[in-house]
Amino acid sequence: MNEPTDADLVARHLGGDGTAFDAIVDRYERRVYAVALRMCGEAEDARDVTQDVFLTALRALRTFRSEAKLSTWLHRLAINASLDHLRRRRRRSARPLEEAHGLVDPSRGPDERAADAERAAAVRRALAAVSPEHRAVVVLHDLQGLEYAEVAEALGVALGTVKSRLHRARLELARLLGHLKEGEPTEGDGPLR
Amino acid sequence: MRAHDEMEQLSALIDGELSADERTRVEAHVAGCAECRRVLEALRSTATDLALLGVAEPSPQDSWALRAAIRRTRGPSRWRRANLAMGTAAASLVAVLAIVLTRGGGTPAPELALTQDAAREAGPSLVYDAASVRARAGQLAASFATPPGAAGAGAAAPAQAANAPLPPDVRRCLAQIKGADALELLDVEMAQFEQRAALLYEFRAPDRVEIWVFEPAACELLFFTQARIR
Repeated sequence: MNEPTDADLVARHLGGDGTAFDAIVDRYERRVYAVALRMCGEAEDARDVTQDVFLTALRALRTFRSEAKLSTWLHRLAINASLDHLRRRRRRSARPLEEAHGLVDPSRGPDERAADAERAAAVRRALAAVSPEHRAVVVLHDLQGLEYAEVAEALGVALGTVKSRLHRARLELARLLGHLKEGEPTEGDGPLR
Repeated sequence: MRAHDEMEQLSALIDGELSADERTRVEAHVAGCAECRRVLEALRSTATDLALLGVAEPSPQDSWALRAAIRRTRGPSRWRRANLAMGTAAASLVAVLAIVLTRGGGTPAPELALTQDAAREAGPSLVYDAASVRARAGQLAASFATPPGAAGAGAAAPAQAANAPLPPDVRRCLAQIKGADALELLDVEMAQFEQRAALLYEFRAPDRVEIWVFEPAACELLFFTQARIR
């Protein structure tokens, strides 16, 4: 038996099949959680945001247009819920996440892995230090693997905006991570976006 | 280092998002521009760093909490089809008894309301067979299951038994169910069960879910299934 497509599941849900939404949750829970965690930086926030996303999806699925991709829509909900959560969050300082599920590369020895863990912590701090708008494009493209067009669709911005925003975000991260010096490259004549 | 147009394209270059012409132009430029090569290197190092983040996974507790939150939102108000009927005549279906939880000032009191709206919203006839009823019992039991890692079994007492005013024919069939008083009535629905008009009663006990299927006129028991809550 073939796996149902997203469109199948949406149609079945709208037709009254109660198991269809459960299948959508099974299929997308980890992706939504990943966006939330990388956006908010804390597991507890990620859990709350993930719940918000699927409860919103449950209510709003009726209005979902079949031409749009379910996955893009869910990514959009995840980013928006994360941004809302960040705005409401009182704590101004970004606390780095205690990672419980890092990838362990068996080909690297213990010293290398310790260095990796320290580096990963630095990356998380850097991500937390850039603006939420910059973080969003990095999360969607670099971490979630969406293409520029999908990122644009998810964020509701033009493709050109994704391109320049992502570039700026990466330059910022590169500076924070020591790959570029502060002030490199100067903004010169280019427009700030 | 001054930013210039080709430098702005470097991310898109790495990401394969430039057209063939643009790519040729930018690559030709990079070959002769030390600053661009430096930025390119920095972008690549940053990408390597980002890869160190690894996979973000929800814990089993998170996953359970998510599904519990969804279940609470959907509520027990409707029976949802386990699988869509294929080509079954819709004509014989009827009304759906919807249990509506009224949230008054105190504890919620279920009341049964015959709603044509609910029937319309439910779509064409609700049709079940033994397999879909069993599947439903399994899903219900799973939705009540204790979160992983929680101490003790899910021995929560059933919420107050349904004292709601039930239509006489629904009550009549309830009388056939031994020990119905001790069970929490979650939902009752009229539907088709294997081509017969039926009433489906969904119950919860502390350790299990039960589904009783009756033919309403004679209160003939057509089917019964139960599923353990783990």
